[in-house]
Amino acid sequence: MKKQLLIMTTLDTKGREAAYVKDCAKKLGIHPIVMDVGTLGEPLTHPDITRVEVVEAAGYRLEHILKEKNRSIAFQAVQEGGTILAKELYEKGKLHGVFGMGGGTGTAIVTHVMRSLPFGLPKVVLSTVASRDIKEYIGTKDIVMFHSVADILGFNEFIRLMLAQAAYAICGMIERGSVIEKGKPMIAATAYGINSACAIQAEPLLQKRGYEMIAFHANGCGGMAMEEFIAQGLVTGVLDLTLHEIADEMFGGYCKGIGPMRLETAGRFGIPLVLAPGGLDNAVFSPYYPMPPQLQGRKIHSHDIRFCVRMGPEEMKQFARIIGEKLNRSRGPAYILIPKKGWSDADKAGMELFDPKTDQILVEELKKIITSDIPIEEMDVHISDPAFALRAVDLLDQMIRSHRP
Amino acid sequence: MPKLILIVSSLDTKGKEVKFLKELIEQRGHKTVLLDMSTRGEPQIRADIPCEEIAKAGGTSIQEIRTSAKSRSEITSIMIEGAIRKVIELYQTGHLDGIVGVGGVSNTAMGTDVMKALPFGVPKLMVSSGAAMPSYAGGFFGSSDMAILSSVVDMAGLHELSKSVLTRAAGAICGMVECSCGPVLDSLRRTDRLLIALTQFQYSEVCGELIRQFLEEQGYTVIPCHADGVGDRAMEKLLNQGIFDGVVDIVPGGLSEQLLGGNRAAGLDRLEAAGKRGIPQVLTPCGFDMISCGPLARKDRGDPLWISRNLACRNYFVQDAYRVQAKTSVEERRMIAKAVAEKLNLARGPVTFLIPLRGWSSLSVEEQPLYDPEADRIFIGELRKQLKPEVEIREVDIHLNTPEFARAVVEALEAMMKEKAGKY
Repeated sequence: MKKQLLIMTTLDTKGREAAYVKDCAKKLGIHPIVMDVGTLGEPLTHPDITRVEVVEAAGYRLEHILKEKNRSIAFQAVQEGGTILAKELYEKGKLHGVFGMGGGTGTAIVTHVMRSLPFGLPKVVLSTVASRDIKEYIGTKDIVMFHSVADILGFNEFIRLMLAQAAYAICGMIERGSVIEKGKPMIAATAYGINSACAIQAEPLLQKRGYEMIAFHANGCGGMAMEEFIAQGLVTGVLDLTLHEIADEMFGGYCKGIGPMRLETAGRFGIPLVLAPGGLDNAVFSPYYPMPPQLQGRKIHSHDIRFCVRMGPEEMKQFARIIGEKLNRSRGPAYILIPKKGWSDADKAGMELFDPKTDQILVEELKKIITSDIPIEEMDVHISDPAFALRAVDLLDQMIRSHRP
Repeated sequence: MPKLILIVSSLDTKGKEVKFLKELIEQRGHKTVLLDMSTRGEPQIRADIPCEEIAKAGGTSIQEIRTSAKSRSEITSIMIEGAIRKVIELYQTGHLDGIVGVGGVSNTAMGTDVMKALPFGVPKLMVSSGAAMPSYAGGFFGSSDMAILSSVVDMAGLHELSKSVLTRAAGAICGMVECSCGPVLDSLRRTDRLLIALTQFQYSEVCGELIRQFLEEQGYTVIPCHADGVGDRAMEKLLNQGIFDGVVDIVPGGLSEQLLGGNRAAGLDRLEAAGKRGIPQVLTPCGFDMISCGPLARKDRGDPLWISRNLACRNYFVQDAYRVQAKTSVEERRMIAKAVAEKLNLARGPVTFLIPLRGWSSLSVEEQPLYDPEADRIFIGELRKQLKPEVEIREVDIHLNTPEFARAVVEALEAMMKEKAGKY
């Protein structure tokens, strides 16, 4: 069977462009499937999957959408429907790559669908709005974003050139295959700027024990990417050493952006988890992510234009509740390891945010909340101490060895 | 035919990853050139263009780079400058068909800056773990036609996931160079239709659409450029590359946005390239009537732009929570007129400035929040005073988004195109 490329766009405005990409794919020996995600007008080229099929897949009726003239419902319908149909194709083994294009709305629709597909499957989007903040479009997925420079409006040599390049890119990716070869078992670890020593020390220790480590930058995006990797079944164990994102999420800080599934996926899939409160001593702010007024007067450690603000007793209790409730739902083994001499480079003897007494409030609160099958172990060291990384790795290794899912 | 793909990265930290990518590209039958941007340590693999050469091309030595007390940003700009020299040299001698970069935020910042120096159409791919960082991506892309592959995982160490990303990156860049049909200029030039650049945005939509239609009927190819501070900036670059035969600059507002500090700022050299190339250009004052100052939340946040220009006391139009357009003041109109005249007075080719007297955009027609004929008149007066006599200013007693005005724009362009053609 030929490999298949799904081409998604709004065919009421980008029909000729879609037809061109389709021809490129055919020329390269790839079978194209064109999906219409436009709802406003008639498609300008014939789709393989019509807009009626797309919206109905999500339980909507096209007549209603057209009658209501409600853009946001139309938008939601094609996003949901497109996702359902694309996933169906993928699960049947009939999808080897996805191509999408559009302006602001088109890009939002096609990347929504792409974000629901697994890491490793080739994904290319040609967008007029690439030169914006693309975080919300690509999220935690391995999407290739092409900047179209000119509007995808009117069919000319200029656009043809961009279309051809993007089409050849996706076909080149598809030819290379999208299967991730399973090698050594993989351990996911979280780190961020001022709590990276622990993960760095853990890597060789894990390698010595036959694992491979993948580090995720806990910046609001990395933590969520890790959760998705766990859900995709790519990970054997988790060293969640940096929970800092929870603090930034609470106060709108620099590393905000996590969703409700943060901290939950390992438990849901029964994957062994060792957890440490790295970076929970502070929330980070910058000119673009201003500090809320209620934190005025707190101790501060400045980084560059970013600065870390000390978290107090009240927050410690809230963090403990969030972590505790999530971990209590775990179906697999979990272990909490606490360094008593500080949780980041800013929370260390001699540094501005060093405050073990406040840190201890989280630990005591956790002990009250957490169920008895999850051990809490305290070590009289800083999180960057080699002994801490060693203990974390040994624990995880033991848990993986004795755990039979 | 094998193509030449340049790989740019810091080989002191990304040696293994680059080697993996290089081998995949070579398996496909293409040649690679490794350009090393290392500033700290020794490369892990041999570079074709070593960091020593890059530092030298940047005007210093690698010893100086490694040991001097220069700031990190000074060091990177030296390396970028050196790399750009080398890369342009390769491109001009026909030794570069595509470029791919690998790395985290530092490598992405350097790699994409190098890519921006290459003309439109040369395949450019950045494999980056920093692509999804908020507020970075815009800077990485700029107005260039590059692609960024968000690697999700850090490009540090070779494991199944980073290998999977690099494998797809190899597939993508190979595909891109295989499709490219020689220098873009040639392929665009192969067409015998004349290419016209057209700026537009949503408040000029009707006018832009009609112009495009009329011009296409006349046998022109129209390339629409979104005047959002990116598309119009890109247009200036493409104009410098000599791709276009004429410009219909419906929305030159990127210049006033730049001067006033608005969101659509398109750079201080906006309105210059067409004049330098000497190609015919038609302009309107669309966009000079407003300043893009959203999101609305800035209003109550003590935002410097809102305070310094006292925007809260002006008329403004709120499209949604993000898009807000405030009216430009009389004083600002004078300043804009002066700046516009300065640019257009340098033009070596024919220029026509068409002014729709009943509103410059859909927001400044009668009963709309930015309606202000008095301010419009002051702009026109100042423009007439400052512009050289060779530039024709024509007032049309209708508003911008009408078929009559669109027709007038097209006629003005056609007249200049014909006259120019007649001269040769």
